[in-house]
Amino acid sequence: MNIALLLAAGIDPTFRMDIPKQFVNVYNRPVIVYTMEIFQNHPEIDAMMVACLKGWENMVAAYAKQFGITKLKWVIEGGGTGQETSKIATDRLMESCSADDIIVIHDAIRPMVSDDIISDSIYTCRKMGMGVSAVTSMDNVMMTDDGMTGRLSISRYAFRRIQTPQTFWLGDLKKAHEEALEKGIMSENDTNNMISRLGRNVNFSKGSDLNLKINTVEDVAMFKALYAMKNGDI
Amino acid sequence: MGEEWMDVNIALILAGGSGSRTEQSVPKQFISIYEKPIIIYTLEAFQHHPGVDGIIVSCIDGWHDVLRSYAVADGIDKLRWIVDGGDNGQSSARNALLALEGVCEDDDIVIIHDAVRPMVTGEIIADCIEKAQEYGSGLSAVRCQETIMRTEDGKCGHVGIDRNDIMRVQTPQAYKFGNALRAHREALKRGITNAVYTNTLMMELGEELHFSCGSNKNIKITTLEDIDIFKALYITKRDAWLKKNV
Repeated sequence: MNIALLLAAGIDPTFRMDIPKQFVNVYNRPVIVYTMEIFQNHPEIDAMMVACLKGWENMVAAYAKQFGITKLKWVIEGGGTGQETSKIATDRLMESCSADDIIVIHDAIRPMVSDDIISDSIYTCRKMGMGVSAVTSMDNVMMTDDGMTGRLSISRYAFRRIQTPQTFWLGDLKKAHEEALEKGIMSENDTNNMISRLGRNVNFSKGSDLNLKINTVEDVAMFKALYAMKNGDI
Repeated sequence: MGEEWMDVNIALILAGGSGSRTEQSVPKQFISIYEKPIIIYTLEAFQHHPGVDGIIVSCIDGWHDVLRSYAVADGIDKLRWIVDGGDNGQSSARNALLALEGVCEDDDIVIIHDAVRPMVTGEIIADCIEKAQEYGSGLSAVRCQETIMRTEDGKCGHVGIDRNDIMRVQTPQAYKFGNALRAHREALKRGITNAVYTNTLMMELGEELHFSCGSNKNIKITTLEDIDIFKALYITKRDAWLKKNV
């Protein structure tokens, strides 16, 4: 079974609005609904869990019902960091799922993720043990000490920018969380950082610059335009 | 130009690419979006900027007349020179710099910019020129917002770079004309021929490089997906502009 875990527990103080960005309305429905719809319509996804910001669980459940998100099985309260939320969700899923199930972790604020990217993340996990979507940077990169001057160029091929989805075997992920706890690795932003700090390599899957992460009010406008284009309205 | 020579700022636009990555017959800088080729959006930004005195384009072979016609049609009257583009960023920049020899003084400023970065703004250009005037170089750059992982094979990676230690360098990049020309000549002498941007050459020559203010929206159009992103950015920008005038 492939389970999607949507991360919607974050609160970003730099986002200049009273509504958390994952719940901001775009064309009269919250951003997270767009993300849920993509996983609902993806043939390889069997069930969905939303790790939610406290106080917004009812809203998520209500909109899911309204928009026919029948795959949504669990709405839980998330943790304070990406790592903590990932751990809470993993523990909860292990109660009713098996170690051989697959968990596809995705930011609720990336509503432009494509079917292709999700499929490749799952495929890479089945083949390589995990699939973390990543893209090559089109910009040149320089090392800097002070943010004002550059001292060394790095080839843009020498690194990748990491996105979500990030797909793991549920049992593996549970073990990784236990190991991280033992080693005192806590409060990482993302699951991939935790895995990497455990000394493991992270396997890349397909990403895209179109897989926009909504971080600012401008990104909301950007998503609106991309969404309208995707539907042929512009 | 008058008898009294003032330092001038020349925009040097790199338009030598053939668009192999977009797999289109039309080179990507000439792909039309909302009835206008991408390069014209780019040229408009420099045309409308009061700090820019003239424009030189190193252009893909066979498209010079097309470029000239579009520029005339769109009122880009700062476009003074069109020279042959090379097969990469380095040779395109070099061709244009050599053409400016005898025209520009050492202390004049060249603002090198990708034709396929049409979202460049007046603010980005202004800060780039200002930094070059003050420090000798201005490289528009942005902080990295995502997690970065080092990779050797492109298939898997590990954390090796703190994203706070790096800047993503874009164009425009402004330099003193004399320094830029010297760097390109020296690079040729040393057999360096495949640099995408002038900053890597400058670094090789031990020049100190200063960042100026870039933008995440200043995207480089290299794939078909990027064209969608550009359209969305453009629509969003237009909407913001409309609201201000209500």
